Amino acid sequence: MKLKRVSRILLATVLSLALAGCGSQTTGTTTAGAADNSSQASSQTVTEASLEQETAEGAATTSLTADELADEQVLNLAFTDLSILDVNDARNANEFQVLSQVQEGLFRVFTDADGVDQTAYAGATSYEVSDDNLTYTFHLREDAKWSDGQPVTAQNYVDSWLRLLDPDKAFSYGFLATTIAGGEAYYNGEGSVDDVQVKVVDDYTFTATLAAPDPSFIKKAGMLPMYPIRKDLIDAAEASGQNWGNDYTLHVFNGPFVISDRVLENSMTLTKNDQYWDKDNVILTQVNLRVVDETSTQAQLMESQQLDILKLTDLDYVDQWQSLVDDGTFDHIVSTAPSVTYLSFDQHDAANGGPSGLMQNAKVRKAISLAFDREEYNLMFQNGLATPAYGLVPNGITVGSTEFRSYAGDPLLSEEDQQLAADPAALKALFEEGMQEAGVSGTAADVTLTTIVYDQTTLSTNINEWYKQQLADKLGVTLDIEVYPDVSTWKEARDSYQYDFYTMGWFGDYDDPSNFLGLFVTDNGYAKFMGGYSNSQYDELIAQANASLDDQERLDLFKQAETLLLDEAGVSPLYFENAQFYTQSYVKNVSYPLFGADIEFSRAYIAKH
Amino acid sequence: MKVFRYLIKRLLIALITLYIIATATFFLLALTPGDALSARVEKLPDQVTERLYEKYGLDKPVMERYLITMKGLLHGDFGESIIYEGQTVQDIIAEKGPVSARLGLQQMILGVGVGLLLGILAAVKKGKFWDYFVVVLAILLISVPNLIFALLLQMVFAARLKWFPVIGWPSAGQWFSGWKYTVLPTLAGCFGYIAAYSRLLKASMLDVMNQDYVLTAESKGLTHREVILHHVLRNSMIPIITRLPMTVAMCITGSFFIESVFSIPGLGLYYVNAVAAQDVPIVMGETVIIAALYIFVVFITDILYTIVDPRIRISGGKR
Repeated sequence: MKLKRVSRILLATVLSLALAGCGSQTTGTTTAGAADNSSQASSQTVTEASLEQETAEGAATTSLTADELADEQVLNLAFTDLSILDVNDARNANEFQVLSQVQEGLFRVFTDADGVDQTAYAGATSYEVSDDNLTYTFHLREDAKWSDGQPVTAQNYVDSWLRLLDPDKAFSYGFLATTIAGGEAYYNGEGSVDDVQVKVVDDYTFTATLAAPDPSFIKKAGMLPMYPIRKDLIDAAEASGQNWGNDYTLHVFNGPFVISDRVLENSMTLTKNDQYWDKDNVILTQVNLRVVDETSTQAQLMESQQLDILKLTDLDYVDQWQSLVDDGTFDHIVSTAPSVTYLSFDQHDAANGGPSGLMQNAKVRKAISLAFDREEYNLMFQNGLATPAYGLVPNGITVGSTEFRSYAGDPLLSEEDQQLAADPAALKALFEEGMQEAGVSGTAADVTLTTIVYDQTTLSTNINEWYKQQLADKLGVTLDIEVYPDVSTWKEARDSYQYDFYTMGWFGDYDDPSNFLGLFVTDNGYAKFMGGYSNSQYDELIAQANASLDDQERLDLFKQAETLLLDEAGVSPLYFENAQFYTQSYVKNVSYPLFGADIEFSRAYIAKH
Repeated sequence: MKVFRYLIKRLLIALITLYIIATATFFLLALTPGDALSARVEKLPDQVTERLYEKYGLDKPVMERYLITMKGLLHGDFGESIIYEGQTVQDIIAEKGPVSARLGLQQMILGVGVGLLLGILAAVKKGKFWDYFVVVLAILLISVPNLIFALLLQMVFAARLKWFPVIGWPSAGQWFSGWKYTVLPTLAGCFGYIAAYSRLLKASMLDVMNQDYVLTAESKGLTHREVILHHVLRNSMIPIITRLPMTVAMCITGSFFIESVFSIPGLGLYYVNAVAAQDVPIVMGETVIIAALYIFVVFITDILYTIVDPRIRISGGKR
């Protein structure tokens, strides 16, 4: 029952929106899919089979017959090597990608045939939340085993959650568990591990009690850093001075695959885990991961079928590969990323409105925000492949079963805003009105705004020149682009408020609007990076939303907060990122979830080709 | 006795050189803005950031870190990687050194071999077509970066013609297997040697050919062929032989571009990535070990001089 609250992510509308921006790809992808109806159907069967595990435990088998499968079930992928094999210490996308396929937590997220995220029980079989919304009781699968044959127990989860909060370890993802009672104090080095309210009930049951209701806790609990660990092996390795962090032979695995070979910064081999509880639905026998640095080499490997799935970094191949998508060689998957790029305005009190003295004025910020043509930006700098942002929270982020973006609409596309954006004279009038309010004399033509950059790539230079030109055309304002030679001098400039705005972004960590909207709460930990917007009404709305467990109420509160934030132009969103995946069309049943692994390939298979 | 004093002196100089290199590397890295943790702490609360810096000892003042590092170097303890937790420089060199060494040696043997043949050809046919051919070829090969060669070879012979694999390398620890994987990277990296050695040998041969004893040999009535083989070639080899040890030493450090293009698990790529990531212990360790190797090779080279060229003698400390 409870599962429904976690899952049911309605991405379908989002994906079609994202695709609408680039018409040709949509048709290409569809054609490729339609040309291969039979295997498409069987791919769905596999998905359902693995998702229905909790209802028909063990009974579900794949409906694939031998002649649909290629003889060799080997998948070849490009990857970036992992800094560490420790789930608690996961740092970047590459650790999430690989470790999520060799280890397993409470849940596993797949995408269905429509690209909609579906959360399935994995290590857990069910969970309950107490009436006061504070105590979570997790029931674990009793047939889950580690690759050395040991059962996966409640103790393994509790060990992991406590270790994740260990102040001496200073793990980056500790914040996932800090809403547990006693967790925050322990993580910050002020409390004791004994006060952290995570308890083993029996071998296959454990509870976590929160300090205050946290609507996104269940989403955090399923993430990689919260996966179970084998403390006995870690302690043994550390006691004998062995390199547990990076020596894969010291690890055991409870996921669909195990790591069977590794050449540092070069390659890794995963093989099927025979101890995995759902091994009947794991069809791949081996996965080869290679480090391939050059994008042209990656392309050649794809074209010669030596790579099966590629997340594109060089967007020029989108046009180049259209013919291969059209003739059915490749499938092209556009997958929403939980990422938004925006302009941060210098609203810190200490900054006094930035070098121009104008940034604390909402009208000035609004005029600047509306001066940018987001469609043009997308076409010029993102090959038209991103989604122009008219709100802050990216596509795909949900509250309960409702996708936030489609519920909240597009604040920056309101009629009023659209009229302003289309009328430079009105926009300039708004800007000058703001100048007067801020007590800055003269006209827009007298104003010089300052942006600071350290990234000196051609792309970034072009983008800043484009800002300059847009501001000159629409507002008649001059933009001064201050280039710093490196990040640390840039940070100094930022921390001494020598800017009016700069380009910033956020890649979400878990599926909840608060992960994005929380960045603009007064004096939150990120305020110094995000411009320091401050509005007590906004703070109140976010606080209410974070305390509520009513999905509808939360949706409304988040929507109000976002509208307020963008009305006052506390931030100026520019675009949402979309990941471009290409796969050989014979690779079936791959998922591209929003969080965690980029590519969930544990139930994938290679069709006869 | 002279030789003994010479050796002591060389050893002292070597140690001082190593110390200067280590110190310079340390401070250059320390002066570089940012550090290995800056990307990781971007999203962390301040207290956690502080603890993370404490964990890696990066919270200490520069001079204290310098002393700790130097003390470690004295004991051969370079510390653990900050990026790949638990990995030591020794692990990494043991794993990746042989890969780069095999590739480098193959490139060298092919490149030097072809280069020498072309050098002889150019010297013998001085002023004729082949001479100009070799000169133009050498200029061409030396001015095109090997990244371009690597990408071109990969595109033509691997992707289009499918004669060789696009990327890859035989499994670690194997020196003679999987030659198919090594062909393109070997070719891509041998051109520099061809250019350098053909020009070096040609210049050296022309120099020798102007010597009086060659004139003598010719006037004795020896054939041109005999003069070249017995008198000119042997004596022209001195600069070649003295340069070879340096070339061998350079092999082991690997080539960033070629290893990157062909996805070869070598030292060159790893080293550059470590510098980019500011993984101080790894960069310090590799730099010192490679520098020590160079110094040793330079020493060998100096000894070699005295063996191949009797005109050079060790004169330890005499004024």
